[in-house]
Amino acid sequence: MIEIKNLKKVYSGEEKDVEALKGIDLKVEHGEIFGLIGPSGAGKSSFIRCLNLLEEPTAGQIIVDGQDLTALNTKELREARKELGMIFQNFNLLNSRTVADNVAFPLEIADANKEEINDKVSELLELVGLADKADSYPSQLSGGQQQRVGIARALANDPKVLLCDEATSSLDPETTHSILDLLRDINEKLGITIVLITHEMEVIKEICTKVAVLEAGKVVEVGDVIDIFTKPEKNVTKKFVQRIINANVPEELLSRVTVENPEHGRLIKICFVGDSASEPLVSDLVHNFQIDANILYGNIDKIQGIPFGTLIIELTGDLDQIESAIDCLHESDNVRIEVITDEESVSIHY
Amino acid sequence: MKNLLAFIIKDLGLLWTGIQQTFYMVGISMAISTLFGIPLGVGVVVTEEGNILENKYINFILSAIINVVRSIPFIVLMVALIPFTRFLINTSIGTTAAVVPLTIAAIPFIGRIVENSLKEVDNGVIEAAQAMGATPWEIITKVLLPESLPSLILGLTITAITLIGFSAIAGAIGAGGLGDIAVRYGYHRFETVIMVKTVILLIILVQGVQTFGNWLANTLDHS
Repeated sequence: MIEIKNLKKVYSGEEKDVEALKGIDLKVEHGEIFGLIGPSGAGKSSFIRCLNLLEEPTAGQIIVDGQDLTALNTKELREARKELGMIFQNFNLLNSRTVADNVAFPLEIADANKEEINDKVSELLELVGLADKADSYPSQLSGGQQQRVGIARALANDPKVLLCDEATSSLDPETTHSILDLLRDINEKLGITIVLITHEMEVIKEICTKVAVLEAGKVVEVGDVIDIFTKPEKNVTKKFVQRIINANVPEELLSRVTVENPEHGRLIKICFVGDSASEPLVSDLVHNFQIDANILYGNIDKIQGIPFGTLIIELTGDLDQIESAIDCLHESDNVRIEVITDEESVSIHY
Repeated sequence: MKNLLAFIIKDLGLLWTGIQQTFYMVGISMAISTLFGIPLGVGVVVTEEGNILENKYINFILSAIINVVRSIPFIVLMVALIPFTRFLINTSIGTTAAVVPLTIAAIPFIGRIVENSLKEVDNGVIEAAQAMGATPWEIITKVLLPESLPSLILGLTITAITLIGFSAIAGAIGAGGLGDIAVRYGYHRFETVIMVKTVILLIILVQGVQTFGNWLANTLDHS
């Protein structure tokens, strides 16, 4: 669907040039919800704006449905852009137009006739749940409602792709949730491919099927969301994942005697995915290694419908047995364990 | 009471002619200068660096036109334009003749005001239109101008009030109008009463224009 080849973007400054994107290669399949996450300054914004050439790439190709956008002239590019809907962090609605007229805007540009416009506008407002707000002005709407108008507007010309530029970053968590639900709905109902950028891992977790992690202008990791969550490899990815998973680990556990004093045992965190959740993991440990396992914390979550759990247990007893138990855990598939130490730097094993 | 009525009625004919002439001069020069001033202002904005029709040369020329004309005092401009006025309407004296320098002075004024108004339009909105495949013409007519309309109205109100002031100066070339009456009767002939009356009328006129402009801008403002 979308192929990005060696995308580079350099902003020339007076003193030195800034390399925002340093050669990005990505493929987005049809019907995917593809998320790009990265810390601020990583080049996310440049990336998504290069996709519809709002920013002209310094080098590289953007191929949408077999058409290389970078090779088009101005007029062809305008036509191609009608296939790429876009929504924005600040909604960017026209304040001088009513909700209905905002949605009609792209249709006017595509030279649709009045009747077509009216039909399409009411259909879209129905879809985003704002049929009763057709004659309101954007300033009379809440942020979430404004973004719904933005979504309706972006869908007006039946695009193949919807680009989301931090679409939920200025919304509160509850509204974010409802907007993400709407996007997922659209993806399923209309089969539109969605590419979004965000700095919030929650957004990725909630709707994306695939994710790429951007750091300093480079994609450092890319894969299915479930894999990135359970087996993050690069530090930046781990940080993003921990923001969601570790946020739930109570602080006071770090002052346990097993953390401060390794002779007393080990505090370990076990992450398990899918089927492994049903294995009697803990009782096997106790049974096979004659050690005590004290469950301190447990949590289960779902990513793309797959259960994903975190368990913190304290192992006490014979130290050698504990070590072999940990080694044994390393070997089981779909389970990732971390030994929590007092330096807070967790050693991670796969 | 009778005296007061008589006092008001006394110069009514003279003042009424003055009001008509002022409206005529300001009205026509406003209409023509808006017609030229808006494209001028739009031109300056869209040819700016990074804007939708970036062109450094055209931008330089348009900015220069605005700056040069605006830096000439109106009375000097009026005199300097006498040959041009004569060429256009065969005379350089009278109410109609005054419309020419008034219009020439107002065009760059409006150009600058339009420029300022358009620059207030959020860049994100322009980008959204670009992302939807809008042409530069569509962005100007469907985004820039409608979005800045309330601000444009307020700017045009300022222009109209400035022109009312300039039209008094145009009395120097026999333009007539309220300002001219104030100068001729009040200053040259020491008829203070007429001067006071014209000043009151001018205040009412300016206040009226401003109130109308504010009302219109407010009505059109949905942000």
